[in-house]
Parts: sequence; structure tokens; C-alpha cells
Amino acid sequence: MNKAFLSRFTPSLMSPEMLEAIFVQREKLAQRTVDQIRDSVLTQTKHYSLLVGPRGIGKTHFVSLIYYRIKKLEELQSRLVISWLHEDGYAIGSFLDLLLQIFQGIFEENKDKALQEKVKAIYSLSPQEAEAVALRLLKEYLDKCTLLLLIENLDEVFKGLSEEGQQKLRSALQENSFCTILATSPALFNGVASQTLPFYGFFRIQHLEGLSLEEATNLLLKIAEAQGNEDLSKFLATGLGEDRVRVVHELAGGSHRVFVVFSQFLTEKTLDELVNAVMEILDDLTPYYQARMSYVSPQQRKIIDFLASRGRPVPVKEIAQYCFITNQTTSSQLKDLQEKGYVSSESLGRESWYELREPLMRHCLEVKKNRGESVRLLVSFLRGWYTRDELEGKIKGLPENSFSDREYLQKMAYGWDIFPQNPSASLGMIAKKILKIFEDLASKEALLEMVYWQSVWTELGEKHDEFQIPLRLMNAAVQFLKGNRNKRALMELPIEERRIVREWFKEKPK
Amino acid sequence: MKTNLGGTGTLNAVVLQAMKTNPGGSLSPSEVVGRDALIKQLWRALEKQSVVLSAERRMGKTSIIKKMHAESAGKLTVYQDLEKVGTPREFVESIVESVEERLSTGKRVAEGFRSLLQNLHGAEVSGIKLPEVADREWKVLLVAIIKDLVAKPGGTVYFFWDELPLMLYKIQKNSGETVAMEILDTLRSLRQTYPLLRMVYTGSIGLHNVLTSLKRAGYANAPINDMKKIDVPALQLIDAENLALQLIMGENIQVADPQIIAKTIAQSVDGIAFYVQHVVDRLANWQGTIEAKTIKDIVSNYLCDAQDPLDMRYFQERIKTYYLREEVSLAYGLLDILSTETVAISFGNLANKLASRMAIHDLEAIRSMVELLQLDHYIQQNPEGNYAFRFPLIQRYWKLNRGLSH
Ligand SMILES: Nc1ncnc2c1ncn2[C@@H]1O[C@H](COP(=O)(O)OP(=O)(O)OP(=O)(O)O)[C@@H](O)[C@H]1O
Ligand SMILES: [Mg+2]
Repeated sequence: MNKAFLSRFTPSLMSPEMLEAIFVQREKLAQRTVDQIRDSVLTQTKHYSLLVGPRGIGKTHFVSLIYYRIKKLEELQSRLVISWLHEDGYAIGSFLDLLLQIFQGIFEENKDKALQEKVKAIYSLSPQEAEAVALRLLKEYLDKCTLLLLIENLDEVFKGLSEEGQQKLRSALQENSFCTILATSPALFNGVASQTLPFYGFFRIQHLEGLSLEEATNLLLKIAEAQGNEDLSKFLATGLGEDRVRVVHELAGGSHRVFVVFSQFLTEKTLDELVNAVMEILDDLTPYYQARMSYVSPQQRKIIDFLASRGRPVPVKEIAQYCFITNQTTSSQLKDLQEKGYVSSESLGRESWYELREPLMRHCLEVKKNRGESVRLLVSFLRGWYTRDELEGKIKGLPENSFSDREYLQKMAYGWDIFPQNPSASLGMIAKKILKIFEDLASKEALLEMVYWQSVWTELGEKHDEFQIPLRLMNAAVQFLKGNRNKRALMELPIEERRIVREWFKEKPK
Repeated sequence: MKTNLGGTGTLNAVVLQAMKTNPGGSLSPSEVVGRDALIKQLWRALEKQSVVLSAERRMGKTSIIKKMHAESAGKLTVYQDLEKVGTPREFVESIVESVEERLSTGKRVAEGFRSLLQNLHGAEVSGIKLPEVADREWKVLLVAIIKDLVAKPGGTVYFFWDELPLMLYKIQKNSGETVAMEILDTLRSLRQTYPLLRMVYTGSIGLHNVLTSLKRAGYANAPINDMKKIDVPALQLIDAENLALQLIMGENIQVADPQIIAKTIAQSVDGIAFYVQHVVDRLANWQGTIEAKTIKDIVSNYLCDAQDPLDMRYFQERIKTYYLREEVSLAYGLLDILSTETVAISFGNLANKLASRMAIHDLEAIRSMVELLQLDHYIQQNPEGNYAFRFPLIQRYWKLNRGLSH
């Protein structure tokens, strides 16, 4: 296997070197986790950890990394048995199934033929007897060793175990203290979150956070370094490089997977140009997002599709109406989707409004409908918007009462007027400059001037694609102020655009 | 790392051992802090009679009995977690298995039991699981295995039965109230018959929850009136402080004055070890400097965090789960009132306040609810006879989450 191989969807296939090379953000957690496992192997203490975070947030990467770090610790090896229950391909319907999977995992690890023979013999027994014999065999096999159980998708495993299996598992753990667990799950689930079920308060639950912009840039940088892409790593280290990453960060949130996928389309040039690279991510991620849809119920799918098509937050009532589901069911389905990281919500008065959490997912689901044109526009707009330049300084330098400085603005309008004769300035650039001036007015809440310039620019720019988003933002901002900071006006915008307007007014989401 | 604190040469110098936080996991016996006096008290009680050990969830019952089991050199103890058990047959089975495992001298220990089983079954029984006949004959089999056990030389036999109430609850659901009652009765009569037999009942739901529902089904016996009831309190503040200190050392957390931080932690979680573990665990991931105020903020945030890291919602949920439906509003009403009081109040005062929010028909119903809430460790009565929440932390939680704070 190529050591620098970067798997986008199955980090467990990556070499330990590569896992380490591109590891960001969670070093402290990794060290603590290793310490806890070491403690569990060398003493009678047993730790049980559960990492919770939506798909693509780096759970498997983390577990794989820990696995290799543990394997490297000489002092542990004679007292440690590992069993790793991977993400897919296991069907656990009872405590017995779990035990058999554990044996399977042990066998994959150490190829112990004698053990395999003994496990084989279990299959000739009745299920009840088999369960008792399997548990006893496990105890005997471990003897004084500790089992490190790595379990992905613990929620699924618990569902399969049902309450009875969970009780048997907890009994076994309490009675024997022979096992330490590192588990993951895309969301909290009833088995550990319900106060009356056995595992309540049992796991040390760690919620995994998405990447911040800085961490995302750092991740791309590390990948570029690991793959020997020097030009790219130099570019990433510049402010401009980070500006480009910011656009993807706005669209993808902090999903590790998206950035790993993204990294594969990157050179200095494609990152700078950006639009095509993002189109490539969309293309690459579409099957992945579609696969994610198979983790949700048909009803939830319908809700997701509806939200994707709306492209902005929608109140529960309206979702219920358009999906033909009762308000109550819609509410509970949305809560579930929120826990799983698909949607996010904002409350407006007493109502909750929902939308897809990752804009990128929305665009993936919608991309076919308009052949990606709107995404291209969005990306080039954001690219321009998030590029730092001197313009900002200039505008900030305008006097408080900028109405008097209309001259500058008029020049801008003039610049637009003579555009056909002045092809050196692209429409996108002009739109950005205008919006920057508008931002300045907005942050001063200069409503009159805003209204004036909105009308000027609507007239001049309406017909041009490059002006669609800026005009939408202007409109929302004007409505917001007209309505006495009416948040509802902002709800007309999708999440990534809302964030921009919100910054103008220093509005925080609720 | 071992540090000697309080090195003034006094008798109470405590040896502190650095250790890692472990909220919710299994502790090694040496990591169970501040329970030595209670354990001594338990052994002393066990010299005379069996014990029911009760406490709020996560208070440290399991840690205590596992420590007793692990450090019982020279005594014959059996520790079992019974939540896996759902029928009387499985109960006997698991006893047989634990006993044979504990006394594995190569030879089968339970001779009398084995031959009885063979007779009943009509053939030799080889597997771990008992044959079907044990469904009907579990009582004699249970008696037989205990009899075998106490016949061994070596003195008193101790059974530590964790999650026994949960087992009864399940059996009651699977096989009906009668069977659950019979189990309790059989165990009681075994205790009466064999003076060298001791049992410790404990578990995450209170035994009285199960007993109450059995009584409702007409059960009139008093199956634990021969046992001593012992409550597991929170840790003494000084012990909780030491626990916090040991964890701070173990996690290598940098603070200006560990003593003060440890003290603040202990106080702000009312000395509850599980919460001490949680708070220090949080500190281990903390970015930035840590002061006494940090601790207070963490605890306050815990109380209103939707993720409920301290598992506080349990205090509301369990009432819904284990109390009768018509009792729920009464229980909630009483707790609502007490949660907003700053001092303990008398029963009369409490009843009055309740009357101003709901129609009261029967003072006795209130009285027995107050008793139940005491058994479930929500509230306690002080020496003057007044009532208050047992833990200020839980009171704060209740007030916040029921929307009663202004
Ligand atoms: N004396 C102690 N010293 C240190 N930590 C403790 C102590 N007692 C309890 N803990 C902490 O509290 C957690 C819960 O303890 P334990 O499992 O013994 O409680 P329990 O009362 O048996 O809970 P349940 O009611 O859920 O069965 C432990 O994992 C540990 O983190
Ligand atoms: Mg317990």
C-alpha cells in the first residue's frame, strides 16, 4: 500500500503514517484516549468512551489513529487483546451475535487458530447455551488480559441488541471488568441517553466538533505536505489561500470528509480559481450524500428533499404541510434529523425554522436541477466577497455621514455605466465593490441611503447574473431594518448568505 | 505519584494518589475514594444481618460493593450484576455459575444441587444453562445451591447482588407479580434458615419501587424487614475535595492553587463523586486558565446544557417511569414547591403551599408521597422535622428545568 494513500471514505484503509501526518485538531483528545486505554490495560480501571459526531466529522480516522498508537505501545501488548467492529458488514441482533463479532474481530487481529476452533464449536449449541458458552470462552481467553473493543456506529449495535442485549452487556462489563471500549456514533441515541435504560451515564461522551477555518486550512496544508505538493502548501500558508478555503468552509461547515475530498482537486491554480474545484467536490460527493440518505427514514428523506428545494429556512408548519405529515410527527422527525446533523434550526418567536445544515449538501442534492449554474454563481460571489483587499480600508475610511460622500458612490455607478467601454473590470468585481459600500451603510443602519442605492443598483444590475446574490442581500438588509430589525426578513436567505448580512448588523442567530 | 498532604504530622495525613478521571466507567478498588468508613460500617452490619444498600443513581453503590468484594481476602464473597436476569431459572443459573467460578477447585462444588437437578431432569445435565424443569422447580434448586454453598467450610458466605430490583422488575413483567414475590420470600427464608448466609441488595432503581407495586398486587409480606437499610450518602466534603485533587493531579491540570479549585469543585457538586469526575474531566479539556469561577460556570452550564452531561434529567424521568400515573403530578408539585424554597419547610407549610396550586383531598396521600420522595433521595427531613431537597445541586436543576427561576 502506498503510504501516502489518502482514502476519502474509508480512513481505516490508510497507513498509520498518513493518519498521523494529516491529523489536526484533536491531538489532546487522542493523547487522553490513549492514556485511558493504557490505564485500562495496566490496571483494574476500565474506561468507556463514546465519540459522538455527524458523518464525515472524522470518527473513523480518530479510531484508526488510536488503534495504531496503541499497537505501538510495547508494554501493553502482552496484556491486550483487540477487537475492532468496523462500520459496515456486521449484523448484530442479540448479545450472542455481539460476542461472536467480538471473536471475529479478535481473530482478524491475531489469527489465533485454536480460538477459531473453539468458536466454531459454539455454533452447534442452542442459542441460549451458545451465549453462555461464548461469554465464558471470552473470559477464559482473556484471562488476565484486557479487551480493547473498538465499535463504530454503537447506535446501530445497541438497536440490534435491544434492551435485553444491552442489559446482558452491562452485566458482563460490571461483573468482569475485562474490557475497555472506544465507540462512535453519529448521534446520541436512546440506549445511552434514556435515563431508565441500563447504559445511562455509563459512557464518557465526547461530542466531536467540526473544523474551524484555521483547522481546515491546516488540514489541507498537512495533506499538501504529505503529498509533496509544495506550491499548494505555500499558497495555503498565505492570507489569500485561507480566503479561498474560507469559501469552502462557509459551504461545507467543518466536515473533515469534505476537505479531504476537496484536497484531491487542489493545486495552487485550482484553489485560487476555486469554482471548478468546488464543482468537482460536488460531483464527487453526490453519491456520498445520496448514500447518507439511506440512513434516514423515507419520511425524513422527504423532509430533506423539501428543505433542499426551498434553499432557505422553513417553519415546521409549512414543512408539515408540504410533506403531508402532521405537525407533531414533523417536529419529532426534525429533532431526530438535527441530532444526526442533517438539519439546523433557528427560532423566531415561538416558531422553529429548519434548513439543511450543510449548504454543500443542499447544492449536491439540487445541482442536477439547474446544471450547477447557481452554484457557480454562488462560489464566484463568495470567492470575491471573502477576498481581503484594500477596498475595505478605503470604505471604512469614509466619513460617518457617508451620504455626503455620495460622490464616490456615484463614481461607482458611473463606472458601471461605462462598463461596456471598460472591460477591465468584471461584473463580479463591480458587484462586490458596490456591496462593500452597501455593507458600510448597513453597519451604520443608514436606511435611507440603503434604500436609495438598492433602487439604483436594482435598476442597473437586475438583468445580470452576477448581481443576483448582491441584490438579494441588499433587499434582505433593507427589509430587516424597515421591519425594525425584523429577523424574518433574513429568513429569505439561505444559511451561507444569511451569515453575511448578519455580520453587517452584528446579529446573532438564536 | 504519591504526595503526602497535610504533612503537619497529624494523624489525619492523607496519602493522595494521582489518578485519571473516569466518569461512569469501572473503578479499580484503590480509586474508590472516601468510602472506607462506610465500608467498615457495612462489614460491621454484615456481621449481624443482611443489608439493603440504597442511593440515588450513580452515587457509587456498585463501586462500593465491588471494592468490598475485591478486598474481602479470607471471606467468601460473590458479586453478581443481576440486570441480565429475567426469569427465576436464569437467577438460579447465574448463581450456580458464579459460585462454581468463584470456587473453581477443579471439582464441582454444588454436588447436592447437581444430583437434585439430575433427578428432576431425569438425565445428567452438562451445559451451563439449566434444563426446562428449572422453570418449575427453581425454588428447590435455589435452596439446594445455597445449601451446598453454606455447607462448605470457611465461614460466612456473602452475596453482593447488584441490580436486584431491576431483576425483580423484569421478572414481575415477564412472569407476573407472584413469582417476583416468591423470589423475595425464598431469599428471606434462606436467610432465616442459614445463619452463615448474608446478602446485600442494591441497584440503580430502589427496591421500594418494586415493593410498592407488589403491594399493590396484594403482597402483604415484609421480605426485607430482617435486613438493615443503609443509605449511600454523597462523599464528605473533605473526601470529595481529595478526590478532585487526585484527579487534577492525575490529569496533570495546571492551576495556580489546586487546593482551592478542588474545594470549589467538591462544594459546587455537593460532594457527589460522579459529578466531581465529570467536572475534572471537563477541566482536562479546558482551554485557558482555570479559576474558582471557572468551576462555578461549568456547573451552572451543566445544569442548563441540552446535552445534560450530568444526567440530571434522570431525576424528572424516573418519576414518570416508576411512579403511578396519578402520583406524578403530586410528586412534581411537591418538588416544584421545595425547589423554590431557600430553607427547609414544615410539612404543614408544604401542604398549604400545595393546596394553593392543586385540589387536595387527602392529606395522607401527601404524607406518603413525601415519604416516597425521601426514599428516592429527592428530599430529606432535617432534625427539626422540616423538609428540603437533599442536594442543593439537584434543587437548582429542578428549579431551572421546571422553569421556576425568575
Ligand atoms: N468513591 C468514589 N470515588 C471516585 N469516583 C467515584 C466514587 N463513587 C462513584 N464514583 C464515580 O461515579 C461513577 C458511578 O459509580 P457507580 O457505578 O458505583 O454508581 P452506582 O450507584 O452503582 O450507579 P447506578 O445506580 O447507575 O448503578 C463511577 O464510574 C465513578 O466515576
Ligand atoms: Mg450500579
